[in-house]
Amino acid sequence: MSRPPPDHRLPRVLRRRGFVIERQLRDPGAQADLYVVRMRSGGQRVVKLYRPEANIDEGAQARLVELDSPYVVRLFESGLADPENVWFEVLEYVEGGSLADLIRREGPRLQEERVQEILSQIQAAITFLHTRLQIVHRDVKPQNILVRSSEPLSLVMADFGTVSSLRERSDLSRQIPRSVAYSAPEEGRSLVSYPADWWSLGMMLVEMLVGRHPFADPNGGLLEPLEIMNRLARDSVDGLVDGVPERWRNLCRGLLRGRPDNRWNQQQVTDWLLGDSPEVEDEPRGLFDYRPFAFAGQELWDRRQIAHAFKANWAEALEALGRGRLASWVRDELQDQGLFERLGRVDAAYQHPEARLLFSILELYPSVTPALRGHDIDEPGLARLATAAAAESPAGEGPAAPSSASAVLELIYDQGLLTSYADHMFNPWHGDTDRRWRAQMRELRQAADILPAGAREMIAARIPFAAATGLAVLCGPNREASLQAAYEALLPARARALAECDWLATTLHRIDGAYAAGRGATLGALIAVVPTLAPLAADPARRTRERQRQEQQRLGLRRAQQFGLLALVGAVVWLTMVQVRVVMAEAQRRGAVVQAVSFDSAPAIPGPEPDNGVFALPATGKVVANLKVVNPRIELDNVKVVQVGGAAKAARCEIPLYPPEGPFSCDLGALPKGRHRFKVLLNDQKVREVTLVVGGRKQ
Amino acid sequence: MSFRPVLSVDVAAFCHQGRVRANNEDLIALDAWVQAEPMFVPVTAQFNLDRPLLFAVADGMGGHEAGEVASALAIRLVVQQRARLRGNDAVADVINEAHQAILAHATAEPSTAGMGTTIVGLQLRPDGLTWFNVGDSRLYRLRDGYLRQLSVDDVPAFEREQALSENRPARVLSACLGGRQPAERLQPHGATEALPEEGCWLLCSDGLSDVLDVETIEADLKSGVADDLLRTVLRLFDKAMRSGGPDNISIVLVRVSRLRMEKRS
Repeated sequence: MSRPPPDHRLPRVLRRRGFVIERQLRDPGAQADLYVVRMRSGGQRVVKLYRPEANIDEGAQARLVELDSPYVVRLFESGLADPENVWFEVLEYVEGGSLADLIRREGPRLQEERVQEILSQIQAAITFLHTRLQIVHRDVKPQNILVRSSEPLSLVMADFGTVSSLRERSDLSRQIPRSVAYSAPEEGRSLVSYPADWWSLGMMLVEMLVGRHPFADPNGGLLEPLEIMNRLARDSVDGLVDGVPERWRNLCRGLLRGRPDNRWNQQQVTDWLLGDSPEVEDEPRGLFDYRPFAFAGQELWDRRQIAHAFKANWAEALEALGRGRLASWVRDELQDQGLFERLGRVDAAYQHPEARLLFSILELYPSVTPALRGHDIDEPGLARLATAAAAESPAGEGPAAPSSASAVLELIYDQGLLTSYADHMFNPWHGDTDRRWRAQMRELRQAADILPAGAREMIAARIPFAAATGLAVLCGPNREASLQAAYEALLPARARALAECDWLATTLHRIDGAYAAGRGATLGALIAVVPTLAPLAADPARRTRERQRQEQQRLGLRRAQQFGLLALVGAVVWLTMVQVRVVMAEAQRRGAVVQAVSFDSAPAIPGPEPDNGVFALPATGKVVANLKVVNPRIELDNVKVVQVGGAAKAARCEIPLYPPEGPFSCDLGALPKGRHRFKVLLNDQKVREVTLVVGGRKQ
Repeated sequence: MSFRPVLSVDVAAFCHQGRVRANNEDLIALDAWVQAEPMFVPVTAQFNLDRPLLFAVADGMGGHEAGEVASALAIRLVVQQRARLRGNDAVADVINEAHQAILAHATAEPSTAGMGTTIVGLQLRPDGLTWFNVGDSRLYRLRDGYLRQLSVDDVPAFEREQALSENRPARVLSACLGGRQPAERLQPHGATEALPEEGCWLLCSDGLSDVLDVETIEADLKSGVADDLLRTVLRLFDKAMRSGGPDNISIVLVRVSRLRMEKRS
């Protein structure tokens, strides 16, 4: 036998009690690791450590603890280990192995008397779970039934990792990986209740009586889940009992009814065991009374299949969603009104078609890994995506291919998809990452503001690349080391830059600041733009041109200012160009964030906050600030924009009933030419500061 | 004070008896205007969306010109009562009044017994839109380049099944206004939604949707709707006629676009 795994795998709470790992048990599923441990007293136990992604019904678990039943493997304790943050169980160690081992030893085809013994044991166990504990096991299969003793036979149910408590909910949609070969057809549709366990019993009986699983493939393995689903859909369930001895046929048919309502339960099984022959409902057709969803050359029967197929065929999925094919299939074929309405809400809530697709996929199958154009955007996926985008060649050679990492990242940034995902799935990590990402981009733009025009344009082209680098740092802490190296590589150029070029020196100072403050993401974003700036600073001819251009701009501005003054004095409403520079202050206040600020002035076209942070729109002198607030976890009772200094006038926004996050519009009135600072207040708390520079360019 | 967009609504519409039928039992309405005479050319219209606007198509059925009576009764009543079309309950009330009016007429005039009609309507308001339908006349929305049917066909499950497996349009309705086996109370399909600042909708009778598949209509709308509604309607009509024009053809194409911003008072 191989060496036992090191004991540090056990949670501290168990190690302290003297538990020592003897060996690891073969992994029964993807949800947990199982170890046989020896206690100080000498006795043996099984410790089960769930993986972080496992879905645990704590209410059902609590009912199993300390339950001393002849039908259920003893669960001595379960809980969340601190500080490992791992859900663990301490279970009875059953030496006799599982029913699967027994079938291997005595089978593949078992004696009918033996099957009868097994049947009465499992029937009693399932009945006990359903009636006494009110839980559905959901994963009854030979591997999960343990042999306490083989003569006389005593079986216990194990592996309650997937149990569902029916006290709280009658309709379950917890998505758990389980063995498709034994699971009831309604599993794919998420309507799971007691009949599901009886179906599994039926499958096991057929396997033991025929010596072969009904879904065995010619190589002795099991068919692919999709093929199993197609067979169930296409063929009458009666075909599943082919080869079953005559006496058993009715029992197996009764248990293997496609519709949960038609399926036998403990009543009929007991009657059958007593010699009665309860009636079996006729189901001559395939299992599903609906047509499959035809998509990308496949016939798909359930939500999970569709979710995965959509992820894998993005363009076709956009078409199927855009033409409403998915919604009408859900309404007409699946007849799932709840899902249909949820898809409708997604359709109405998101502007961008790909956002609608992302969230429709998550409605179909919530535990699917979220993805856009084939790129996962869960925590590790996002780190991979950002790293890949940062490695792609920086912008400037035409638009990136739509499926490239940088194009996907741009979509995520522009549409605010991380925050939407966080709100949709109650996942704070994505929301937090989005906020930090945007804060970092604002800092980068502030840094760009001091650069001469030529350099600003070059930075603008470089911003997607910087965004990718910054996000990569946010998601993957191991990028910090390479950033440090990049930072140190800048040092030799420093002395020259400080002497020769003011704005490059200032940029380098900002990089120093970010480095000193440990703001790795900002540092990453800033470093990402430096390669563009360095040659610009090093070219003296260009520097001269820059200086001339700046001088011209200053002159132009002065002339325009004079003209603007005249216009005001004459009380004529001129269309003026308002240049708005948004200075982002501390944006977060008790969870509510002003996500976007924009300014309108008729007949302006309001737009999103531009990438370079500078608004330019013609105005009649009246300016309206539009605010969008995200995560208003606080009750908003006022939203105000207040001028700092000067007239100190306050504009109060109307708070719409729905949606609660705005958009809010605040009328700032006529703004004379010059600099104006405004505070944005939510519930009288300052959350952001905005500077408007009203320029005098006449339209 | 703040600003709001002023939306413009452009419409092109045509209603024609097709190549096979001797009479036209379809009827269209563009807000207060109800088609009264046979049309030889499509009409176009432009509205400012400063008040509710209703667009509707009805497809009457029943022999001896009774179908025309049913569609006319339904359209006229709905147009008269269009100010009331707010919310699903109000829509259902108006539709059921039309339903009862058709049934009453059929009782009074035995020659029109059993007549019925479908109806599909789209009401645009400055603050949103409401659509509704009974029967199989359709409402489609074009968005992001994809055409999606919003209306829900009242076709019984067995007929839908049969039609799908035979790859033909469904021929039997499970609900209509009036009809041989009239429902006590109709439950029209419909919804009230936010109004986008740009959008395009198509209302049509089965004379169009039975002969042209959604991809064909989508391709025509995508290429033509931005610049020339009239030509787009004619092209769709022409394609339906070339496919045999077996039924009356009604097409109402509605486009919303932003005209300008104005001060909100």
